Amino acid sequence: MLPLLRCELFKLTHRVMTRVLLLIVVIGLLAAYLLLGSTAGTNEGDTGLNDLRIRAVYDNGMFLVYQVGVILAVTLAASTIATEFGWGTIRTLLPRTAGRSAFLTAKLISLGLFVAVAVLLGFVAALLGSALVTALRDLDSSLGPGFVGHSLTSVVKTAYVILPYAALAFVIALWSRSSAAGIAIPIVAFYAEVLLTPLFNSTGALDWLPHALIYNNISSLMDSHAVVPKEDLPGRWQAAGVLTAYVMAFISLAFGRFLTRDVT
Amino acid sequence: MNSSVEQTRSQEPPTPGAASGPEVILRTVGLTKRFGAIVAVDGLDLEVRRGEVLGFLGPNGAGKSTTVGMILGLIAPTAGRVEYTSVPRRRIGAIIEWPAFYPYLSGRDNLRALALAVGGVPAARIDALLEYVGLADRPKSPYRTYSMGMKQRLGIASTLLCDPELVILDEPTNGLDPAGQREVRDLIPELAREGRSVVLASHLLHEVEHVCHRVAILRQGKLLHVGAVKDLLRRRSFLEITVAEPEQAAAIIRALPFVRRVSVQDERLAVIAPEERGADISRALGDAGLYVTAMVPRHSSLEDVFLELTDRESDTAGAGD
Repeated sequence: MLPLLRCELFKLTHRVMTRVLLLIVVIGLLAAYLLLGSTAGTNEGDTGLNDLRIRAVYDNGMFLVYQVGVILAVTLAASTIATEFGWGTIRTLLPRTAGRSAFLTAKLISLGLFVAVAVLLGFVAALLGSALVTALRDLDSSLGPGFVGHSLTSVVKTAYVILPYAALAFVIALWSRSSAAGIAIPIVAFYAEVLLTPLFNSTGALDWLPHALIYNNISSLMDSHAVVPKEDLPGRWQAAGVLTAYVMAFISLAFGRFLTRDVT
Repeated sequence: MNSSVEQTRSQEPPTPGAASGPEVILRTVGLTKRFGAIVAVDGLDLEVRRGEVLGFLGPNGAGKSTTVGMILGLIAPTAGRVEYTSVPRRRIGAIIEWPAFYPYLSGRDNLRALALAVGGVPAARIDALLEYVGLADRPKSPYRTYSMGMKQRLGIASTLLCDPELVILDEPTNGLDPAGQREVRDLIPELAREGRSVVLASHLLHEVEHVCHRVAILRQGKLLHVGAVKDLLRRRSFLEITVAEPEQAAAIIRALPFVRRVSVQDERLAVIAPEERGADISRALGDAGLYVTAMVPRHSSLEDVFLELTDRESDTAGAGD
């Protein structure tokens, strides 16, 4: 398995797409901070400006990282497997490797590593953006209590909540052999959930459904920025369990399909 | 299952480079693949021997690529099995249908990626292979900028990366210029001399005729013929006889017990019979007062044999419909 992982990381690091996606995380975060910093209210007490302070990076900054990261992780997850079929490279690689399970495992681990790196870079970019806005708008630059601990927890949680959509993209791309389908369907699902969750909650009869889907559980782990009141969200452990179940289900589907599929 | 398969025993000396004789390194037993109602490969029994070059022939859709896919573990057989008797699957180098590599990586990096996936391939081997296939002067050009010929060369380099015991080449001269085609034709016997086995799938039958020890001919997933190329060509050779009364002469020749087939073309007869029986034919015609003007032994090309075999099977199938 280790040789395959080395191969995957070699391909990932030599691919322009990977670098562009990581660059988008950094530039996107910096641009968002500068844009918000220039348009937020003029007084230091304003909520908008407070959200851009360094001490809010692990909360608001990481929420931005999550939003950008989901789309980029979905893009890479779909592309990493669908292009192997599209370019025909899977036929070059598979016969020489340790097996299909090892091949898929290496792909998933490298994808997980990409998500981790993207989130870390996103955090650094958010920190930098926040520092710039803090300096430009003369905001309070204190880190607040437990900044490092909160930041570490937030980085881990952000990476974790991106995984269900990345895994969904991976399985759809594997199933359809299409990057487009692998990217489009999870993004549609992501936004559909954001739009439909308040609707489900308002109907009463289906108010249990959002708890069984992905977005509410992500909101629960991300602490804030939910589209429903915080008290309506599932508990954190329940949310973590539901998200884990989704990731495991998507990965199982991917393995089930890949291990039995003819590569023609 | 393959009652119609023609089998010929090789009368050639042991394959060059094969120190241990014709050891079977890979065998397919009743190998079958169905895609829905379509039978792509139908009960294929085939052996690949160490150090031999086996031509794998068949019209488009005959099941060649599906068979190769099953040998490489890319396609699961519906029935039957592939036995790797003395070669692990990872020691098989193959190009299937066309060379496939990562377009954003250079030739060297593509080989590096493959080498990393396999493990244990020294970096020096990559450079040596690039030099060997004539790609060393463009080490940094992305694969997407390669010409078809360069892609084929990289494909050949990739098949040799893991010091393979069996090399499967599917149309390896596709896109190559005449000099490149000659190089590949020279490379194949060289691989066999090194003790590797080569399976060569190609539509260029003169290429197969020149480099292969044996051929296996498929049609609609069924094995029509497997055997030594020389034996096959010898069996299909004929005598071209020029005689004054061809129809009358044909009737006399047909009556001879060793004659397999006689056809009349203009003033000439094409007689499928052992070459050494020419004198007997001449004598029989002379006894009937017909004198041979010319008698020339003609040897069929593999192309003639291939077309005859595949057309005949096609006719048989058509008659049965």
